[in-house]
Amino acid sequence: MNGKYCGLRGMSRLAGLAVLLLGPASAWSGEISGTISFEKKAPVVGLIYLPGDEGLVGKDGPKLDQKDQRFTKPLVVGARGSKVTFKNSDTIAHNVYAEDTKAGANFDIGLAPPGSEHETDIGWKEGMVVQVGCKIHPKMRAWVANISSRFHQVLEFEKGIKTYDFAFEAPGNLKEVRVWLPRYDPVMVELAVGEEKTVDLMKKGKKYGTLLVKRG
Amino acid sequence: MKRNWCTLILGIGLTFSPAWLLFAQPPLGTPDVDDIEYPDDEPPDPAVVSLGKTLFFDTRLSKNQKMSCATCHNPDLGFGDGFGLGLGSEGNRLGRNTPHLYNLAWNVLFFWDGRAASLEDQALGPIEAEGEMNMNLDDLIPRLQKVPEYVEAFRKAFPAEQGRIDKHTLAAAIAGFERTLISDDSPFDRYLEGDAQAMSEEAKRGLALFKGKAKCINCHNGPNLTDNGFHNIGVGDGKDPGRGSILAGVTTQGAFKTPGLRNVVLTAPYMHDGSVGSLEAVVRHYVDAPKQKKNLSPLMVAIELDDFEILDLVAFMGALTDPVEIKPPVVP
Repeated sequence: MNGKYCGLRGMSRLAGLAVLLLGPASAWSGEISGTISFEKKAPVVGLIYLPGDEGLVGKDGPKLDQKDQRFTKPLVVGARGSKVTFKNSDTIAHNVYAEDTKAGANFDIGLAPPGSEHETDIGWKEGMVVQVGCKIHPKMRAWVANISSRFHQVLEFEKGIKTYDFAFEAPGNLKEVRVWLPRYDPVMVELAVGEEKTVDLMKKGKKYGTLLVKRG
Repeated sequence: MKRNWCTLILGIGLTFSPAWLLFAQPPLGTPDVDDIEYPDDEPPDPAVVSLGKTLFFDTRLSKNQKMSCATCHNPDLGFGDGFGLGLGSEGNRLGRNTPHLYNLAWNVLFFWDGRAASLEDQALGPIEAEGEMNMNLDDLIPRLQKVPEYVEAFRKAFPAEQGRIDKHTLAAAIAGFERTLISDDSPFDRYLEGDAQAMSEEAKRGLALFKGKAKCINCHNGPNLTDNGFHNIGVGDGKDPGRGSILAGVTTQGAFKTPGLRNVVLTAPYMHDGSVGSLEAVVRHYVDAPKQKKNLSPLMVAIELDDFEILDLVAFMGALTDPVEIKPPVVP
């Protein structure tokens, strides 16, 4: 494979988050693991998840903060019926808006002064990841996913690194794995226990990377 | 491009020094080519850049064949035209100032109102605009196809597209060239690399003011000294909606893109309407309360600078100068 390798760091981060997400006593019967690699530059962020779980429904929604003229996270996940809180911890005014007709997300919180918070319903189509931005500072971009499944992982890619390992526990009854990457074609893979699959990551009809995913 | 341990140490020093913590903006620095978001995630082939450069200088791209991209974006005039308002190919005045092209490879949205989401979109805009080059692409493509040198150049530049001459390859070539207009070796960059003598004492004081009480860094931040944002700074009569004509909202009315300041001394006159002739006058615009206050950005707060401080700021902006020399190509 080309590029640098950050498997161990990625694994430990994912394992830690999985523990936080599922609790130390979780005893899911399986594991989803694999490698995602890019031929050129990695995107900013990705999301891997297993649909079919409703564990996030009814939980508190995510918070997305703005600081130093950046969103503090590239992607947050919330379930239908919850709200995403947009906070401005910066010293200057910002804004948050989305215009995604395909997803059914169209909102604009207006001028958000420093210190302000604003809640927006996660009411767009389930499974859709919506880009949000600041009208004042268009370089500020982040994504909010409407995902009900507790079995998900946000993959924060780093500049100059092309290959990432991932792994997290998952119940055996959820067979489908989905991967979302900004501006890439969505990926859906059905995996039986013990199975491994390799999928091309495509953008505008061209291959830009490879996903290797297996179920332990 | 130019990275060494001095930069790293200075960067760490700036990041953790108490003075730096006063500010919460992307830090000033030297642009990093690894941060450029190319359409295909990698720089274009040199053949694409060479073709784009030739097209940039070719008057065939205007209907009356009197105007090229370089007519208004003149490399010898800071990739501007020196006029307050731009000129169309029929000698008509346009509504806004001709923006410079330095370091657009890192930019996000293009034109003063941000109506183009990529350099490729931007490149075709003035060619097709009735008041500018007034060239219908359906007429331009066959005009280029009649030139054997272009047929060969497109074949070399776009083998995957079988050398097709169409609006996509045309835009890709021009944008590919424009992304090479990189200015990253100014006295300020050398100062950041550790050369304490690279900037004058006036410029050093200007830098401190820029980051401090003059508050310039609120919008002119990051390696290209722009937040890539849109702000209403009270220039003009308030009738031009600017970004507001593209995107509705309270924050966009009368707002215009923050221009990057690299080579800014070469790009006069200033502001979206070219109404300010010197950098000193630009700074005074922020010191004097703008007369047009409707929808004024909340960042437009009162600042106090004396005459010497204004000159120090201008000296700092002068230290951002690293001209991009372009030898005009032979147009077939």
